[in-house]
Amino acid sequence: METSLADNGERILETRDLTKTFGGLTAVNGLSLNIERGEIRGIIGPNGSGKTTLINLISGIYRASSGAIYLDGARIDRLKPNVRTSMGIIRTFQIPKVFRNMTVLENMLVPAFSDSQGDRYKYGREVIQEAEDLLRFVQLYHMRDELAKTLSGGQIMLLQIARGFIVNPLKLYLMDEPFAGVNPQIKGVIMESIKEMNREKGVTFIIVSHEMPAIRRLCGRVSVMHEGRRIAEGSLEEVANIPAVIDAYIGG
Amino acid sequence: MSIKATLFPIFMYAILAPLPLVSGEYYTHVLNISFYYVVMAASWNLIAGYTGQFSLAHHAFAAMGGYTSALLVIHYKIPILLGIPCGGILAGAFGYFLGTLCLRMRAIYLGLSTWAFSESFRITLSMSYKLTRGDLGLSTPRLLETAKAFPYYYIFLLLAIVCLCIMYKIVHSRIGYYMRSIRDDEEAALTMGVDTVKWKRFVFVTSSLFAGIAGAFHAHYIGLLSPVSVDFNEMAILLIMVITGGLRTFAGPIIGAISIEILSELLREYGEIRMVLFALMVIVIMRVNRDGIVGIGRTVLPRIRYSTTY
Repeated sequence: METSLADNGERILETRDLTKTFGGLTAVNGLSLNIERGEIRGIIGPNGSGKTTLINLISGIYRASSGAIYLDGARIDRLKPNVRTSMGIIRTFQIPKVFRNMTVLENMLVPAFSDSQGDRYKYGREVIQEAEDLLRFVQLYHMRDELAKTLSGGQIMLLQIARGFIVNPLKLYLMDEPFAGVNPQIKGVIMESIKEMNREKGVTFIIVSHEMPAIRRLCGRVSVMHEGRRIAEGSLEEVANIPAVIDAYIGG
Repeated sequence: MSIKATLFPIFMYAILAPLPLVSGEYYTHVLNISFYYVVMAASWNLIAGYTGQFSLAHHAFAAMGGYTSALLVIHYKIPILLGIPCGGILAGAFGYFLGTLCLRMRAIYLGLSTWAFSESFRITLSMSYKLTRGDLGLSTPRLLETAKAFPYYYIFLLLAIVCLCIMYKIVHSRIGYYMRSIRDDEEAALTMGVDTVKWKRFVFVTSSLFAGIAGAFHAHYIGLLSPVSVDFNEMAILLIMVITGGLRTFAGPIIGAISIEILSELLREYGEIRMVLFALMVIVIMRVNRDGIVGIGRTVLPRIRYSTTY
């Protein structure tokens, strides 16, 4: 496997000149991004700036038109999504994707028993215990035997997020609009779980969101995207004062 | 496997064994055919109900198993009990082929492609006159010396119970999780680490294998094979059975296959109008309760939880 020369062990993810075109539209345009191990990185930008496309490229739903992606120095941009999951990348979707006709607990067990986890399914009882602990953590334990389609929108988002935490190893968690359309109480639970997993297990997060208060509380650094490019990077306060960022949001 | 799980199939066999003593020759035959349909409906439910791949080629795989076994037995004089697994294996191989072709297809496109596959198979059977005797039909050697239904009853009962046990094991293992996650959201399953390509192929192969074996047993019981068995009506009857009993439930196809087959015999004098009745029944079930008889049972008896009947 080709390795990145710039890998110094602290960098968990690197994208290099990453480009994705759809017909005539360039959704991500020569994007180079470095994510440090253990950080919670925010990705912000106006609608259509390529944030979700970036998540799709890193998780493997899309194949890059050109450029490269490295995880821990190993090149991953040609691997299938399920292989990337086995390397420790997990993601959520903006419109939550849960297994609607499976129970809440079964939803948790799909990633735990999947091909990405080797022979972990042999430890069924322990894995179920772990899944139940995670459900308690996100306050969904009382719903564990209900079908996922009976959950509310916010609970579905919680389930989608909690499901990812069961993957082992979990290195990089990509979240696409995790706070969209959820009530403040659930928003609090989601933020708590992100902080806890980051602190206790050292999970690195990339969070795409329009919720500036949440980004401010969670993310040390944010990258601002506009028209498929990174136009600024730094703390939210720093980037908020950069003219290019203001232009991108107000339109100019 | 727990003792209870081992004993249950033996118990079922023992309970059902004396049935031909009261059912008489004709209804024993009906039961034999309904056990064949139990295997067909349950294995189609694996692919359509659990994995969400609405294949319309299941009847073609049964015919493929039947023809393969019959032709091998007739031309190469191999024992029937060797011909039957050969039929199953060939059907499984074609299942792999068809599954691979349909990997990226969804819903209606998969239905159309598999339907096109079975139609081409039917036409090929009709046209390969020299090999299959075409529409005249191929007379198949019988598994037993006799044509009486009674001894076959125990073969078909055993076949149904063994196949159902294997399917139950598959559905309630981690593979069952993969299948249901692919059905509910293939993209999400992929990002959760499920190798969707591998498991979709696996389900195509497994369900075609069951169909091929069941089809071969059926052919060596009836003693006649013809391209009519690949007519879309055959597929429609499987669909009616599974939907009536309960798509996506384990008990559904079993209940559906037995009740529809017996109902179909009771209404034989009304001829093709039966199909209209069944069609109406399917429409009503789709409107009232998508999970069929099992679903209605769940509503009436809330104690039957989803977790015990999926």
